[in-house]
Amino acid sequence: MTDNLPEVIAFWYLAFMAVTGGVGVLALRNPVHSALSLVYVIFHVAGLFVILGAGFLAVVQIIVYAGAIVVLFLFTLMMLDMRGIGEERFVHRQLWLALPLGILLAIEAVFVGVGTPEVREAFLGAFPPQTISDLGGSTQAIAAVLFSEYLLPFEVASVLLLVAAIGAIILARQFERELEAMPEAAAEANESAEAAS
Amino acid sequence: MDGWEWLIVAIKCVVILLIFLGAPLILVLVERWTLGRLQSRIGPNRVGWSGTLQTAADGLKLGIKEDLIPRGADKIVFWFGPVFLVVPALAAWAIVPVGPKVGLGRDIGLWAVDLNVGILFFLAMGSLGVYGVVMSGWSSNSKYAHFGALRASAQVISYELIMGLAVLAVILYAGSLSLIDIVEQQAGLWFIVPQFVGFLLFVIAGVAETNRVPFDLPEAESEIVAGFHVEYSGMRFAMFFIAEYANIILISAIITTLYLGGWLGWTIPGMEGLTGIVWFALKTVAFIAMFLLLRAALPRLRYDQLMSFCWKFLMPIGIINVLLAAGLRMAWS
Repeated sequence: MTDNLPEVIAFWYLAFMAVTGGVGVLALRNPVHSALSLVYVIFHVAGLFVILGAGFLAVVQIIVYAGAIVVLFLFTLMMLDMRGIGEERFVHRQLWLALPLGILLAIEAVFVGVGTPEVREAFLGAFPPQTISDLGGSTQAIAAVLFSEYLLPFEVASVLLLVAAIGAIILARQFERELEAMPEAAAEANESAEAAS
Repeated sequence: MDGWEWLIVAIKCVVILLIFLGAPLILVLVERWTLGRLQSRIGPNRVGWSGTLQTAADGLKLGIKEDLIPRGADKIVFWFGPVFLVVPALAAWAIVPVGPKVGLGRDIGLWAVDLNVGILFFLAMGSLGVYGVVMSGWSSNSKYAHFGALRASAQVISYELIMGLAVLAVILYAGSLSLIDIVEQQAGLWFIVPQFVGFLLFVIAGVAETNRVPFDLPEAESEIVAGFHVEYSGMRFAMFFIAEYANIILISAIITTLYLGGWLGWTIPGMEGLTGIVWFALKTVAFIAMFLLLRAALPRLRYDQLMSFCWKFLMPIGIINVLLAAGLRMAWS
């Protein structure tokens, strides 16, 4: 950590708020409140990226997570009937798996935080601040790595996403075609939809 | 940063705030006058000289009205909905350059902050605006508000992509994400010339993002009363107005910056700052006028037309446009 006082204050504020929001995501009873709490976490993590000098990551974090993913969560949640959903138990039965994993993660964090200089050096990796400013900024640094060293994983990920999108469209269309093929079923579906509304 | 720099930033923030609280007052009035003329009726002409104080009177009325919260509403979310609409629109103004650097004892840029990811920051704030709509629509506990919010979220997510594609082509030409660099790159040729298709895409997406006619389905009054803000009253209702007009001004300013060379134009030597602001204001006002006139000229789209227009027509054009821009850039360099 640097001796820069505003940066230290900003870090503790953002870190505290991000953790508070994270607790909110789990503890709030209403799913919509949880999703909004997630937006709150995303904002403060974006702030942490800003004080790390990674403006590009901060903005992309907001565009992708807050601007697209959580909006889709909300879109789905708004369609649901909320009555009775909030009565789920806060402490879930997955606790027995989550607890050891969480402890393992905490130990790792402590190890990185107070570890030897060599460990910290290893986590800084090939991109200390000097290298990044030599490349012309964090945007250029990300592009340089993404489109050279990690080009294959990047392209594979984009093809996977495309496959998922096409798959979703085909599944939705199939259901439509089945309904069209069976006039009685279609009529039934219409009737039950009318009865439900 | 020394004391003076903090003071300068504070002054810039106050100026932006004042413009946003003042501009809707003028814009609402101008819009009502224009629409009145175009629809062969008189428009506001009672309060003040020819109705000049009409919006001030409306604002006062909204200010002293009761702030109703419907029964069964989610109070906290209902409360914060309009806030989430206004704040991103204001925050995005931090990166808009209204003029070049001027020397008043020290070099002062006529922008609040020069972010090296400027244009992405604008897109990020634009994508946050949808939260205000979704939060106020969902929390109102009303079916009309609910439909408005659903329509708005689908519409904004879809048209954001078109806007992103149009911006991508501009970034390819400018070679920078900073809006100041983008303006300075246009010194020889405004980007509207090589990027005319991108310009049209951006304008269409901009109108859709601000939920204005012909893309005003989220608040279509003849179908769902007033959409996502139907349950609001008093000052909270006024905040939706402020957000709508702040967004119109913002989108117009960004169109000016990306495609029409921002503050660039003929200058008087020694007064670059002043002429820069005048050029920027003139270009921006032209687009604001376009927004107002569109409302009188076009009918509303149907929802399926809106979606297929975006995904089956604008989207392929946007992708081809980016590919062409990238190809041309490669051929040049």
